[in-house]
Amino acid sequence: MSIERPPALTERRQALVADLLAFVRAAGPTPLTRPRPPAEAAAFDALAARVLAYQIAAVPAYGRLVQAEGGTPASWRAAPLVPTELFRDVDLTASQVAPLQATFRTSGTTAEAAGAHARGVRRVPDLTLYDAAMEAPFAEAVLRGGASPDEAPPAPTRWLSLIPSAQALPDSSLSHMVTTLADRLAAQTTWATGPDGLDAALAWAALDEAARAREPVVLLATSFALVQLLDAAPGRRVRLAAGSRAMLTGGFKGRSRTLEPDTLLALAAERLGLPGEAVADEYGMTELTSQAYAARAGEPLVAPPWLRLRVVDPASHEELPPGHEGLVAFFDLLNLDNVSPLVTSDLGVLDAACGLTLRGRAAGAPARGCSLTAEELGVR
Amino acid sequence: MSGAPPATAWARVAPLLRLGVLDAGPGAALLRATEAMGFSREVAAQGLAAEVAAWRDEAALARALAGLPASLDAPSLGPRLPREVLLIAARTLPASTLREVFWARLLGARVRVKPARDQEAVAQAIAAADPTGGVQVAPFASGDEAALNAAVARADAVVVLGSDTTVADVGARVPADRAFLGYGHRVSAAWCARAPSDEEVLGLARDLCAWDQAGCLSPQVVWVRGAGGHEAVAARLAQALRKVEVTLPMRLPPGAARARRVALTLGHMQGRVWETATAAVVALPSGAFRPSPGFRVLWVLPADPAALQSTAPVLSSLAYVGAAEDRPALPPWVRVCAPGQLQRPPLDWAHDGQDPVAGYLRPARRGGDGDGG
Repeated sequence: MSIERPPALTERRQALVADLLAFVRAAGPTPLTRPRPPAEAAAFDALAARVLAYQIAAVPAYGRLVQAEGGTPASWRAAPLVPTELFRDVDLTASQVAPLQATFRTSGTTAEAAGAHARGVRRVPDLTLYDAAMEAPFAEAVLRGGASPDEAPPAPTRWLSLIPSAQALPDSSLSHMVTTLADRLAAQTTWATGPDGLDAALAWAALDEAARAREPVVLLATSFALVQLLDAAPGRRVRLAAGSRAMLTGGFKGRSRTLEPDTLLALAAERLGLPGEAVADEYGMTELTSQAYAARAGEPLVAPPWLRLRVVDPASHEELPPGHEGLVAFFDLLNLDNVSPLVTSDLGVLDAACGLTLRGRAAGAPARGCSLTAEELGVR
Repeated sequence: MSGAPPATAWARVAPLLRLGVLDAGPGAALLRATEAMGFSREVAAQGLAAEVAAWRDEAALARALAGLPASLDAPSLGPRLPREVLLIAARTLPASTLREVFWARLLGARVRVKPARDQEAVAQAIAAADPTGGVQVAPFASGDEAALNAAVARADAVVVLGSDTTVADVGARVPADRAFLGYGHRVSAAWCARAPSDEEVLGLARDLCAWDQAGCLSPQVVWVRGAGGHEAVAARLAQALRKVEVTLPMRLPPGAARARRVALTLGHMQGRVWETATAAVVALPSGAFRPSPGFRVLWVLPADPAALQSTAPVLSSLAYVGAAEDRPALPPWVRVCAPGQLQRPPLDWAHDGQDPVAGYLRPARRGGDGDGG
């Protein structure tokens, strides 16, 4: 494997950024709508090959992995997958891009948080791609419920976020996303979660005020935060104005209080006046630049054209056909300065239209006695 | 009972030695139950046979009993032998449960074994070996507080094998006038102060394959002194493993595949990987301790004294290669042994620093107390 001089890599990167931005723009305001233009797949493949070649050269750890697994793969589908948990251990940042514009960290479980190296870290030298690609899928799924701009009414501009702002949680990629979107699309945003947690009173007051004013609201929340909100005021109800929308993300990892998705949606309808069709699911993670959405919660998640969703065998990482359950994997074109081929610990199933249904987390191996897990030991 | 156990004590233990006869009776049942836990027949047979055989080491037994007070057999205010022991077995290896049953019976106590979930067959096989009914199986759900409290209340001594959380929880329920032995989560490792001999490398390979790296005595990390020495040792370990695994096969359960893949990916990204038919040896450049995902994935790291010291609080045993004067200073609860002996703790081993026999004794009574037990 030849070693490129940094100036050549920099030029390649600049060209890739320009072409990736063009690809994102070309998808237009409905990047989640199917079917996609026939030429888009070929364009993706061509960009993926360039992104992969760039990352093999620019991300030393990934280059070593590729070499160990047989050299440059024939296509992005054959590229070695990097488990997302390795962001805790390995710097997966392109080496020649400086300075860093953002450092995002995974939330981790309570036990993980105790260890200095327990949280995954994704260093993002340049947020250009991130910021360019986040709006169209969000608007299509969350603000318009899957409708085209021509068909949908104007989106609400009064927002309530149970997700902390980027000011409150600067190392959260989700906070960066919602803050950037709020700055662009909201006229008024109530940030109800700060460093000390959810201010339920503030959130309920914002909902009450919007309901009294008969103004629709966009509610952004993790599933756990929404449950916290509802639990904080048992029996309290508000009837949000028609046109109100919600985005739910995340699950209940490591939490003691959990709810089935259907139950949570029913509660949102009952307590907030938000019907199920007004709630969208978002699927993203610290290790990814792009997000997948379901315009209606509970339906399969759909990815924008710059993100490929895959399901792979846990042992071999071979891609599984639709209908087979396996580990959720991605090729995210926009992870340019990190690694694009990733595999998670999430279980899922793809349908024939490449819609993803999540099925929880992969179970660990059967416990074998006194061995400590990394989380329990915390010795590094 | 200090020194050699009396004939009556041996009479209680002798039937349990039948558990080492693995082709018939309770021994065969124990072997089947151990295989049902996922071990190959060969691994299960070797491990069980080794544990039972340890009880034929009269010298080790004498050493273990030597510290017992002489007054145990007579009524006194001093420490007293337990009459009933509650043994809470975690999802550990049968070997650790077996050892505690042996101790309890040797000391004359009835043993009630609360098996781990899905491991009732292991406890049943052990109980079946004792024709006097001295070992009974007392299953109840782990979350059943009432059953746990009742079981603790009737026992003179409680032994727990499990997580630190479980040990602390159960220990808090044991009254002060009862005995308590808690064995929590621990790890083991190896430290090579010099390049190991071929025999020593083979010993480490055997330590890894015995019980498929499960349990607190299995090595998770091998530290090697000398620049680049760890990669050379890793390569030699892989060679040795290829020999050992022929007679100690292992099938990787589906649930373990993902964690192994993560470990191998890390190895490829940061160091070097050697894979064998059943095992993986991963050499990494950092000496920081890292728990293994198990199932014979062994980290081989540059020796890092600070990493060893930071691991010491949770270290059970350390296989050591080198001169005595080069041995790192370690807390007293860490057993230091030769490679190949990690999975063969002697009977007088102070498991986690606790006296294996004296820990069963009920504390001394204050003068004037009624005989509560």
